Amino acid sequence: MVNPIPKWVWRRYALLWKKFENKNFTFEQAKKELKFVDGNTLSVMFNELKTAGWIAVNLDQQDSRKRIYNLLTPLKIVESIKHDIKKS
Amino acid sequence: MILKKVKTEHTDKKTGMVLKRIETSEWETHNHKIAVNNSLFDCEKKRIDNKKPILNSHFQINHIFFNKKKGIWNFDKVAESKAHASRLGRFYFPFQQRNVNQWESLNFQEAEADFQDLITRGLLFVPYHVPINADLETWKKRKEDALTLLNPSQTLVAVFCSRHQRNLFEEVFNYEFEKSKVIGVQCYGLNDDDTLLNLMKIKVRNQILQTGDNAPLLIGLNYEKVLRTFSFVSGNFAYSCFGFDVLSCRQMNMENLPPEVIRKMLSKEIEEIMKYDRVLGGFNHSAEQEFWDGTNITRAFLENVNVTEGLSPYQAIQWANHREQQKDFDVLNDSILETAYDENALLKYIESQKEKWSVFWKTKMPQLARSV
Repeated sequence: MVNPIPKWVWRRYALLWKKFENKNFTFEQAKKELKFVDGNTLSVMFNELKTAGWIAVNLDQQDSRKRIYNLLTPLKIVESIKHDIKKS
Repeated sequence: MILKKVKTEHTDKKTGMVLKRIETSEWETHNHKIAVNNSLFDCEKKRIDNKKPILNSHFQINHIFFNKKKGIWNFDKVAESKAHASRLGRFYFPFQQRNVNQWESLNFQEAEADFQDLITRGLLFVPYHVPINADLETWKKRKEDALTLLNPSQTLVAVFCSRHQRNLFEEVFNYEFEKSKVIGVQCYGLNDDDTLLNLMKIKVRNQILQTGDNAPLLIGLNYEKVLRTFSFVSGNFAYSCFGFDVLSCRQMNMENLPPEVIRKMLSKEIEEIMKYDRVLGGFNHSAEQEFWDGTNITRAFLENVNVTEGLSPYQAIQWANHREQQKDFDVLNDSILETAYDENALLKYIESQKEKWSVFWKTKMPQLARSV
């Protein structure tokens, strides 16, 4: 199930999507891309995206302390929301 | 201006934030107000000289600085700011802005002497700084002595330090909370354990207020304007989360700064000045604005608005920062009221509408809940 996200998270999702699309990326790569966003904000943002179902989070196979992020495609999000609306 | 009463209008159970109504002989208003402090007072004087309107604020706070060279408190600006506040019917409160070392060395002898010094200056609200190792019994005795020196129109205002000994703070603070009309707290950084715990005690006491209860006016003083270690959230918002009703952030004492630092501050480029952004609920620089919005909002602001009349660019931004933050507090008050019929209204607003408020709330407040 996919839920709406706050506008400030959506803006950052859009920027990350532009850069990574549906490729895997790490916390550090996202931080570099979002330039002015600090670690605290990034953690809260990933948590929002994960809770709302907009991102998949997996452990790195080489180093299980690290997480690998993968964004859901905008199309999938729209379809999923459409599906949820139909169900409800 | 006579402070008649402060009443609880509504308490939001989810966030613990409280809406209070402040009633004086001259005006009525809600809490969550940012006071006109020293630097805003300087701006107001320039605006008056240029026959421009000043801030529509009911509260003025004068931070009294310590002159390091002479080793004395500098009361020079008290009379002038008091007269200005009194002309406008404002609630006026001066206090000695202490640093951590000054708080640590403060004993009752010095606190009493400072209190006596201020009594004679015709103030309605006279600050009494409570030493950080004061327990309830000692405070009760000292306060009783101090009260005998006041005339009937004067009110003693206990001013605490957020780094008060944590095993003693709750009892003394709660005593004052039950008895006083006004309480001041000089707040220090949230990375300090004593501060965090003591502020949480304040929040906990404040949030059990019920509609219709009398409440003291809690004045938050001396905290950082921008919390750099908390994603540049506004200090006004962050400290209001602990229950403060009137806020006045730390003021810079130019007298104690070396000339080269002053020169550097006065020659700040627009790109180096932090501007409050209502979308974020915090501060940013031009470079960040350009990254997200493609424009230098600070520069555009200075080119497009008229507030600069009489003010330097830096002061114009300070002025705007005050107004924008106050607007956000007004919206926050509306959201507290909304929780009367939608219990999630305020929490939803904080967590979804403003990035920096949301990050502060989600990263700092859960820690606090665990520490109680």
